[in-house]
Amino acid sequence: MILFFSRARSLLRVERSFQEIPKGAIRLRSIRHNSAREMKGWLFFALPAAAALLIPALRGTRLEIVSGPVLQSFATIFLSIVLEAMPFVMLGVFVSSLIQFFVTEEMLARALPKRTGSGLLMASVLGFVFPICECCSVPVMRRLVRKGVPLHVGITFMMAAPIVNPVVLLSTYYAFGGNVAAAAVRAVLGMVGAMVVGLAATKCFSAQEVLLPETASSDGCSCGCGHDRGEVASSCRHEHEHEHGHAHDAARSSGGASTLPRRALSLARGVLEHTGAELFSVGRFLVLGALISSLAQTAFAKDLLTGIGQHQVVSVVVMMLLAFVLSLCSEADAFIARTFVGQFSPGAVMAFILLGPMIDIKNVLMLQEGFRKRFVLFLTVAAFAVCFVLCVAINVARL
Amino acid sequence: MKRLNPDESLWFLILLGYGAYIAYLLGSGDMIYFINPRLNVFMIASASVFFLLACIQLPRLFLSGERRRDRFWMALFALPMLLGVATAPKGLHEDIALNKGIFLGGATGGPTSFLDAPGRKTAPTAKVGKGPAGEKYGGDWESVAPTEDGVFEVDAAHFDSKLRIVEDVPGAFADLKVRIAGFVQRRSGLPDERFFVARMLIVCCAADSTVRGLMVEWPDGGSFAQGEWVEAEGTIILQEFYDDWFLKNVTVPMIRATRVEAIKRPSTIYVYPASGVPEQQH
Repeated sequence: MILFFSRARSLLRVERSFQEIPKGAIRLRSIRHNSAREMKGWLFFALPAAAALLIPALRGTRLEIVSGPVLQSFATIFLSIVLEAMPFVMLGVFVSSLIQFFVTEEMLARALPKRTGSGLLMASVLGFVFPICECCSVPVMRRLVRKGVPLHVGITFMMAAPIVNPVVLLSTYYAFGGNVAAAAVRAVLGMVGAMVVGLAATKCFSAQEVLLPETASSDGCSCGCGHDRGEVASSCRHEHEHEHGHAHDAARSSGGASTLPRRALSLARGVLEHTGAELFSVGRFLVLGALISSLAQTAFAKDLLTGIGQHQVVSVVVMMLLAFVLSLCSEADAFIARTFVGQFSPGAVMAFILLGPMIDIKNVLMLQEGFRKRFVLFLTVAAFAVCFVLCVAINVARL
Repeated sequence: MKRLNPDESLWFLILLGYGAYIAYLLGSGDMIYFINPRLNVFMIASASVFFLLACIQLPRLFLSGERRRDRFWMALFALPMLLGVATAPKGLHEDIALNKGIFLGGATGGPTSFLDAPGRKTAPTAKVGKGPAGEKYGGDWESVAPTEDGVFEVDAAHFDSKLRIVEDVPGAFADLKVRIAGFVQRRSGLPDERFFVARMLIVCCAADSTVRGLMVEWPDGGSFAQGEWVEAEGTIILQEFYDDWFLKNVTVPMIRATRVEAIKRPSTIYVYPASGVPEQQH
């Protein structure tokens, strides 16, 4: 496991350094390290694959090495998080691809309010009509910001949408025994918290400062034709058919002898190829987040928290950390939070369902794919700070 | 003859593998160990998209040039599927319930917060039919908590909703005969003869599971191990406990058992939340 994480860290470093040095240098460097990386790459893939083949073969024999309740529970939790989140991540990257192909910067500029205040307000309520959860909101926000949507609008939308989502509010209402106040307070505080973080982000950063250059495997075109670093999003309007038969923006650029069905097919293939590329770039961080969360759930005993639940400040901090580590879906977290009612202060329970959808381990990892680390750290700290203040206020006011 | 691009081929296999694995889980019925069946439609969509993306990936299998994806990340992406194939998990084990802990299920009688369910704001000993608690359930618990042969059965299909009613208005169930089946869940601070008979409540997926159950008092309770499956029958009484979470006394509905016997573990230990009140059974 340690090997996996250190490898992940070093790879992130390599990716960043790739984006910062000239293209020629990348080529030289990649040739020099090619064979070593090739070997390591295969090794990382071969080990789990071999284990997957060997373990079932040894089941029931004296050489059986994997059994026991801990592994069963760990594997169940790990898989359940990935399986549950995957359709929503798919939806997110699909919407992101549609935005990439069909929405231009000019369209967004026309649709969005010019004033910061009205932009924040619109972004905070957008989740009511655009119901997405936190797995979906990260790729959509990343794409919107790349398309020129103001940073405060993107951040506020990403953090508020998973809270004000009607499905989430309904599940909150039901989880707390038909309590309208619980759902209403969650929605209002979620909108306020997201707007504050969005406003703080736009005061401290510009979109150019926070965005990472697009990489081949993620945001840009993954066809390998050499125009993938930042060109696709803004200027890849040319029509060309590659060896592999994929056409960029063919339909949009129009012209030529292409027929409408052919252009539509080509466009659909482009959208799906883009979806596949983004699924890889976002999904790997979802898996990493799920891995950490399932390890925490398997190893962490709730009894460790005994006696601190009623503390007005400590209980809020503990529940925020718990929400961050567990990375639960915002549609289900209210049901977990319900089990803490009475055991933890009201502010702490609210902190659990407020912070989780705004930021958690898997969101942080997914954000790292498109944004600079400094900015991701800022967002995390800001979300913690805002939730802390709001939820301690609930305890102080004895709501 | 064109050479296969190893990385594009791996990505193709991963997409195909995920689609096939999800389809297998759905087809074999094993998906129930991971996801609430009401979400199966999303799983079908997920498998379909994986297959579709695998088809789209086909023309890229012979793509020449630099590889575009790192194999470490591809291995990580494939890890859940490979782990699933290797370990073939059959759901959460009862031992994980110890990590999750269990709420006593009582009412503190102390100050309530805006998060408390409307029913819980009433006095824990209120009788149904009198006051707001009774009105909430139509004034007659028999209509919402039907009994069979005079026994109120907390069955798997209505496990959560029936427990919720008992927790909301425990006074209404005092002296009522009750039957419940589940696994033995120990809680720190309780003597051996007092334990919970519980099940795992799944809302969306196994990761969000919580332990739900009723406390049982049985003189020979020490003979049952944590996680062992039992069926308990007895009478509900209201008992006051010092709760180390609340740091004060709470009133808890507890079954004073007249019979507790070991039963066979069911194929799944999960129950799911039912909306509203349980359906009429007769």
